[in-house]
Amino acid sequence: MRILIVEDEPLVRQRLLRLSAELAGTRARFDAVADLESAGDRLQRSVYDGLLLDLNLEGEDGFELLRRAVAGRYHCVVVSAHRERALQAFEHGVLDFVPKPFSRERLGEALERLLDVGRYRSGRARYLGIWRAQGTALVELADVVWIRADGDYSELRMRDGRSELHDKSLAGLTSLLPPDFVRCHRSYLVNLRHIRTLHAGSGSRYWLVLGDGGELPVGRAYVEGLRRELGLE
Amino acid sequence: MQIPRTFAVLAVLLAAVAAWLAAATPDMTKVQVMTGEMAPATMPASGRLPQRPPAGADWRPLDQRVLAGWRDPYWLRWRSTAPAAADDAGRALRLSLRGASRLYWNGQPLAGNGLVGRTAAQEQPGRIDIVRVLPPSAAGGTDELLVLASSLHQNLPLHSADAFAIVAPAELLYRDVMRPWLIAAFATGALATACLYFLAVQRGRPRKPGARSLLALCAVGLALPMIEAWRPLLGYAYPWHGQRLLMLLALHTAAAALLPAYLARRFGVAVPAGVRIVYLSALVALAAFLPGFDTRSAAVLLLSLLASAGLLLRVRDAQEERGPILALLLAGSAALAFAPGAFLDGPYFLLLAVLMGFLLLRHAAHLRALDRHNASLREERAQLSLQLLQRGIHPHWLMNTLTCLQELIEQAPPRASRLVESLAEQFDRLRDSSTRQSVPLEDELALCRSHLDIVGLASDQRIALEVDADDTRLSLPPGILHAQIENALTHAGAGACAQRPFRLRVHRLRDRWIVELRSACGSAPHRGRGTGTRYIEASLASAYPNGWRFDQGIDGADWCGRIELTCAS
Repeated sequence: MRILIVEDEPLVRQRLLRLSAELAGTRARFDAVADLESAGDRLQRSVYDGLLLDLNLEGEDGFELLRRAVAGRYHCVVVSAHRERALQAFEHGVLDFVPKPFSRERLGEALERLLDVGRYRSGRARYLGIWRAQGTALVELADVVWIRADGDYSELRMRDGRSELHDKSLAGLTSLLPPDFVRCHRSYLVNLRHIRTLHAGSGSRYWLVLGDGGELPVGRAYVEGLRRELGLE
Repeated sequence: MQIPRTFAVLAVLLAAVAAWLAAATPDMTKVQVMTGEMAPATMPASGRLPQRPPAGADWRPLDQRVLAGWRDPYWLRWRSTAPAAADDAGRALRLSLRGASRLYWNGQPLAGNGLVGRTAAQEQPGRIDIVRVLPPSAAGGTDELLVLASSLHQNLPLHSADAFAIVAPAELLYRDVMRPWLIAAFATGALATACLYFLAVQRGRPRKPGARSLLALCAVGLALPMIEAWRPLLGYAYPWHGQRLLMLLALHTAAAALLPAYLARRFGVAVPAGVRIVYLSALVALAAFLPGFDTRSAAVLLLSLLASAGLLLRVRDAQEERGPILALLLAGSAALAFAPGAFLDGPYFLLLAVLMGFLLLRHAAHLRALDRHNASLREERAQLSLQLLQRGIHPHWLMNTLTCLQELIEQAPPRASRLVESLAEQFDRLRDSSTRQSVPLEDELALCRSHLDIVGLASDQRIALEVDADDTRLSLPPGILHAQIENALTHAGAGACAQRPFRLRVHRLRDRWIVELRSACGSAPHRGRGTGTRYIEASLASAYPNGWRFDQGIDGADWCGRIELTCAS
């Protein structure tokens, strides 16, 4: 696993590199850069699975950086002194927020979350960042009806019928999404808020009728869980 | 606003004067002024005083100036010019005479006034004004008042005797004489209230320029109607008349000296010492050498009103006060020039009451405005102190620095120790600076250097501050250079600031200090509109109201912050 550290303070960068390498051992490789431009270069040239990101990089607005970071396929952990903005960071879809000054244990916890992203579900994101040609746009998760796996990407179907493509895989997104999103099929996550009914057909086939009138297939393995979530048991 | 205010004060004055005139003007159709004659009285060396003048008495028309000099017993005779009406019941006589007197009305004795004497020891001074109810006259005949009088206690030579006799309905002489003084009493009460209010708001605070003069003027304004009303309301024995006139002249002269003195101080008009001496000499000369007390008082007051108006014409600001005061002064001057006697007998102290009331209320309003301003300054100061402390211990900066400190403790303990010392010094300086309104330039530079030292230790690169100051006596609101340095570090970054050191230039340009701080430019687009800039502007506005300017922006390869301060001297 490759993780990029983006931190402008040399001593803090040094501390992050040193402690992260000690904590992750052979499970991950770390690189560190001081500014966003270098970070962009690195992210284009190499495939990273995670990002340890400082929010304030030499006067640049931290949340602009954050939007760009959370839109990528990698997961982002914020390491910042802006403690008052932690909730906002979670809403934007970060995996964890490590406030400065941080202990070895706290950084270890965040790294564990990053290294084993499938096991953790922070579930506090409210928005997802979407790459667009003109920059990063924010999509409110409440407006997403379902998410479908599309190779290494994910297709987001919005309430107004639009579709958006996100850089993260379905598995990658699962760790960020709030409990409203449940798996209904091997390739689908559905937003419980937009389900109208669950229908059973012949041959144990099930499907969901959604608020916009659309239908979504339900895999057999997921029927029981879905019933539980919908309070149908 | 000054025009309605000018109209308001003029309206109040006109209303007061109109009320006074309406109350003081008698119904002349009911008043009979008698024609007087005078003659020296020939007295036996001893025995009873004569009850009638001798047949060969040296009668001559009443000459007030000559009579003013007579002391020994003398005869006075007043006769009516018209026959008495058939219905003359309820008539009364008012006699004003500075002497003791025996009265005979158409040959019948009336109640006397004091005791007429051949010597001062024998004489018991009578009251200056007396009113006697008259017996009925014979229908169709003319009335005659015969008076034997002596004025042996008249010590002060006066220009005129002012002796007269009038006959009018008793109610006119007893009751109506009081009415105008109700107006005066009301004006005096209003002035006293304004004075008490002023004293209340003035209490326990530094005196504003002219406050003492204003209070002295107020005391004069309160004393004047009392002395004026002494004669009609209470009356007194005639020797007090001269003393009363002297008191009135003294009060008029005091008012004449105090009014321009107050206005000059209040509006900050510089009056050369020579002019002051000439003015006071002129007042003294007018008060001492002009004939007659009324003439002296009128001249003194006219000079004072004109001098005050002249002073006000030199005032360029304070239009809201200048206009109303000037209008009152000019109205008084005009009235005094055209009817000095009538003006002095009442409207003058009404004018003084209105003027003083206005001045006192404006003065009190100024004190209240000053209070509000001071309170807002104190509040602003407290907010700025708090802001300085908050900025100095900005959580983001502090947490980053503490993270650096953590790493240094583990990797380089001696540097960690230095960082702790620099942090302690920084907080100590911030705590000290936040309690002060301004700090010497050296202290502010020390605060900046300790901050740069901390950032340098954290980033492991030295950040220099070069100072070019040809004069370091300048004092600045605390934290304004520190805020600029902090901004530069935040927006341009420590790395850029290490490569391009801060350069401070302080120099004096005529009446201004120029403080120019250059730093690395950085690339953040929103620089220059944040809390740092607001703190700098608020601090400068508080410390140098109307005497500061702060500009900042990109200048070549630098970010340049330029502060201009107007020098106090």
